[in-house]
Amino acid sequence: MLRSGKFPLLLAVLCALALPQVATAQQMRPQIVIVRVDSVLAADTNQGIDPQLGPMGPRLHKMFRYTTYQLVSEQNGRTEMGKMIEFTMPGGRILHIEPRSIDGNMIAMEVLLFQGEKPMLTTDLKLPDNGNLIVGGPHYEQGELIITIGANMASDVASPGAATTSAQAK
Amino acid sequence: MMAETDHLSLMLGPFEDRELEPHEYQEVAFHLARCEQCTAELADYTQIGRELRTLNLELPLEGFKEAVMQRIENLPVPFTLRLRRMFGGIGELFPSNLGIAVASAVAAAITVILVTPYAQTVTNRSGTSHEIARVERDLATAPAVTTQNARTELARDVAQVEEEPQAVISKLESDIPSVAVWNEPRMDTTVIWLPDQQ
Repeated sequence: MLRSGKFPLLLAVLCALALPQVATAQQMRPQIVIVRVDSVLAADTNQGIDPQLGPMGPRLHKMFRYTTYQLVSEQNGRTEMGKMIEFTMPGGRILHIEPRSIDGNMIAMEVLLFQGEKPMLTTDLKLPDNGNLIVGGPHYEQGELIITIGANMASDVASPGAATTSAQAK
Repeated sequence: MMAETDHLSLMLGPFEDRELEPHEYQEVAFHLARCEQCTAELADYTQIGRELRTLNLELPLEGFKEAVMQRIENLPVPFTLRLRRMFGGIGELFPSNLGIAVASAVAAAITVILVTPYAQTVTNRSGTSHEIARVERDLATAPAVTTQNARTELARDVAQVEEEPQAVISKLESDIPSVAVWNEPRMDTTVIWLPDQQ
């Protein structure tokens, strides 16, 4: 039986041996990125800000000065590095997002927006964790479409899945 | 018609010098054929003229040219003429193509300074300095507590903006010709605006 003075030392040695294994296992797991995509109709029809937008409504109003902001669709998705995730946007548009790498607190990704099969926008960017990218301007109904894209690194290690939609895109 | 007794003294000199009109010449010649006095007087004119023509006056011309040029130099020159001479002299120093190139470069430089964002940068820089000066004056006249609060808020805002990383766009391709991109640092948001093409 070990004497009480030697037990903490043995525990420390075991932990030191085990840490690299845990780190290696974490490195082997691909980083999961959670992507949020909201589609907002912005117009000058004096209908105010949709309460469903939450705090994003006043922020959009501060940035763009339209008189109407209406949430059209709200979608979330999980993906991992190098895997593209697709979102269906209002007006027959399609959004592809592919995280490429993590650089410190930045998520490098490729964003493509299609109008049907025709690419409208292709961009490579690094977005801060929990940062937002807004792609706006395409005509939609009586105003313009504003697409807000948010991305953050997932803290858990659940497997990636397809995008889920809360509000149906029109 | 002239009388026989009239003499033509005043016309004899011009007659001798061939300065009369044809009819006057003919009239004088007709008179001379009948008037010995006038013929003698004409002979005197002729003699005097001949002697005058034989005189060979050698005027001293040494320094004449220099004196004339000196007087021309001393004439007052109009200001416009001086300017014209000056620019003409400069123009002779350069070939015509080089002159055109220099003029084009000057015009381009003026355009760059006045029209391009460089001018806007300069304008904004001066505007910023004015704005800073105004804020400094306001701070100097504001109560101490207000000033302290304002400085604290400003420092917090600056720190917040400096700490928050901004999105970095390394590639942006679009068929839409006038895509706008800007950052909203206080909202952690980068905006790519695709103007409506419809």
